Amino acid sequence: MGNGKTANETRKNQKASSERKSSKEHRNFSRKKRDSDPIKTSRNSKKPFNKHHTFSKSHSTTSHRPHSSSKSYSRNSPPDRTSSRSQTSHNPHSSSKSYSKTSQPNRTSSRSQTAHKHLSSSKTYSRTSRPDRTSSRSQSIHKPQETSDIQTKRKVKLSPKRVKGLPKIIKKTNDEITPIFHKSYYSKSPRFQPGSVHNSKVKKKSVNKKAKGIREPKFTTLNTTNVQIVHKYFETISPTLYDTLARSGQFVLYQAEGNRYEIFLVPSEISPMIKQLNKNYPIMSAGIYLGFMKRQQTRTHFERQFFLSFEGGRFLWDYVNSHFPEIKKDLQSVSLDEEGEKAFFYGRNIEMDEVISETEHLVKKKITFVLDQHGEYIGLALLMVKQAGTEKPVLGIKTTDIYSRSPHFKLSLLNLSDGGKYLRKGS
Amino acid sequence: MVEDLDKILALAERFEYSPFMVKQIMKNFPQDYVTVLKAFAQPAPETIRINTLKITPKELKARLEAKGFKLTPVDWLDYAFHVDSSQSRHTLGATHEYLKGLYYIQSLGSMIPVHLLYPKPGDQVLDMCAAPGSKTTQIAQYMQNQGQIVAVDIKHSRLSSLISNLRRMDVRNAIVFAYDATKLYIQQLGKFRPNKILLDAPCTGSGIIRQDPSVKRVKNDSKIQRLRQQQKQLLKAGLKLLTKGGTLVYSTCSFHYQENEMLIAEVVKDVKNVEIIEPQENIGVPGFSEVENLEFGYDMLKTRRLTPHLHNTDAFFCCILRKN
Repeated sequence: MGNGKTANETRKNQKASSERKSSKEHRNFSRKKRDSDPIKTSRNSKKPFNKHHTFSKSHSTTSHRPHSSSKSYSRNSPPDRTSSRSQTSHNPHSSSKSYSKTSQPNRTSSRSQTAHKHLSSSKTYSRTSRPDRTSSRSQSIHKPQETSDIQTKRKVKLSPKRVKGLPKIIKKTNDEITPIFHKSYYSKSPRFQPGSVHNSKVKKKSVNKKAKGIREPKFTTLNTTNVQIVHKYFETISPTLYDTLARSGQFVLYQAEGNRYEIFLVPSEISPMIKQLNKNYPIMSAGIYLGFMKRQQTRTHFERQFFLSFEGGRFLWDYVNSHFPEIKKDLQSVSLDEEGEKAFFYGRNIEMDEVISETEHLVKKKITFVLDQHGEYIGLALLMVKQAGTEKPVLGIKTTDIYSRSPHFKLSLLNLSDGGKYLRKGS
Repeated sequence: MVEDLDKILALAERFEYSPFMVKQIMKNFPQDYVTVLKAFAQPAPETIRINTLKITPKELKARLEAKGFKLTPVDWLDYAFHVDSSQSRHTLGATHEYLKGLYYIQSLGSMIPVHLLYPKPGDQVLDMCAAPGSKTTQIAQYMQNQGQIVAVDIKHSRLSSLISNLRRMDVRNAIVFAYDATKLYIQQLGKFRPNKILLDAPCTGSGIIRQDPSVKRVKNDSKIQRLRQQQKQLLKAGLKLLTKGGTLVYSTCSFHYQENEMLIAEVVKDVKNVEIIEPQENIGVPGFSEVENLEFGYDMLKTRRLTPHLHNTDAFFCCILRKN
């Protein structure tokens, strides 16, 4: 009563002083412990800090980062709250990167500032004396203390977002960190100049190319399946044609996979150049256009078939005539008169009346080279049998040519490709 | 000044030109602009280039004459003929010979650039603006299908006609792709080191008024200025790609000095180790060393111009540049 304080008040004061004392002790103890064994403290510090609201919050931010680990909490650096949530959220895969930006306490970030308002005394304690959980270990070793200006500069330097799949930072120095895809890196290299094909690795706006009907061509050497198909086709023209061409070693087969599946016969002297150019440029055509592949429906299934082009036929005819006359006898050909030539150029089928060359040796359903009266190649045709009368062919016998030449049937040349296509196509 | 204006308006009305175009013709041909205007009013003569890869000029001449065409040989190009098809019932662009790729319908002026470039078998030639392929096929003809031609054009849509013409004319040594020629880099071209480059640059087409009369109605120089930038970029890129000692032929089908002499003078000034070469053959007339108050230097006399009133061709400009 003498000093005017009640027993309750004194008890309260005592309790408060004891609490302060204990907290001081706890702080000192933790400091001592940290000074004595920093690794232990940083490892052990997980437990008590987890209880705190701020850490749990910041921890929750780190928990969003799958690759962030306890390594990112530095031992020696002073506390840091600069890495705001928003910042870390930009770099989901590189927590160390984001932390490395800052190693000094910085309360500029609005998020951390707002968080402080709700902090209790224990939170204040953790803010002031707790080791830095945000700055990376390596960073804290290199640069334990930096001014806030440098930090902001660093922020600017590292601002390019890490895109998934891009390589990690390759170079770390005290002054700067240069990612491999940094602007300064690719500006030096011509491969990464704007407009070049390689620059397209950077994410672009998706364009519905299918809808536009555009498909970037792939110009590659012919795959084994297609080689077999072409080989098979060549065998129908002449059994030794493919092997003769292959043995000469003058040509390489290429395929262009664009809107159509086109096959090219490229002179071997150009071939290595094409392989190099093909890495950087979308080659559309090279050498001789031999033909194209098409998926055809059979009775049971779909199968890929090769179709010889007009140009391919012209090449084969000229090449065999000039280089391998011994194969010429295998190639089936017909010569047309002027009327027949005209009709053929118009895209029509040809009747045998218009053929001026001998027809007895002709085999039906075989690719036929059509020539004009000068003996020049004008297109490709297929010898077909047409029913002339009412009598239908007897199954099994129809396949023989003798039967086809009976008065009930007539032969005709089915136009496969002719020079008139340049006129009809319009280009 | 008032007299000039009256004259311009009178000529514009008479020949159905815009006053701007008349003014441009007067600037480029100050002595004989009326003759030029009259020459542009005449129909362009038909000219063909015979594909010597497939047939001899003599043989084709005989064949076409049998079909009623009259062929007159060009003095300085043995594979080119002027064709008079008035007596024939056939169309020159639809004969069987044309479809077989035995000849190409091409104006005489546009045959000059490749003739000046004169590619040889085994050369590595780059055609920077290749479509629709008249000059590319001519290059292949000179090279006899030996060596390499890389034909590039920025427009994907124009490549179909280029490819079609290459196939028709039986060109076997050309590699074609759609790309901006200004963005070609020598490091990316691999073994391809062009020792000859043809740059038939995109232009206003003022020289081919006879084929495209819409050019008569151009009202201002905005297109000229826009294309000048492109032409300059292309020429500089071409000179970068060119190997040392190689030649580049720059050509346009335009008579505007802004697209021709002025541009060449600027580029030669900017780019080191490049000189203008005078053609060995006496083709066309020398380019302008000065126009009005602008001076381009006497080197421009080494360039060549073809004009409709002197050579009965489209107006064409050619210049050979060598990298040292």
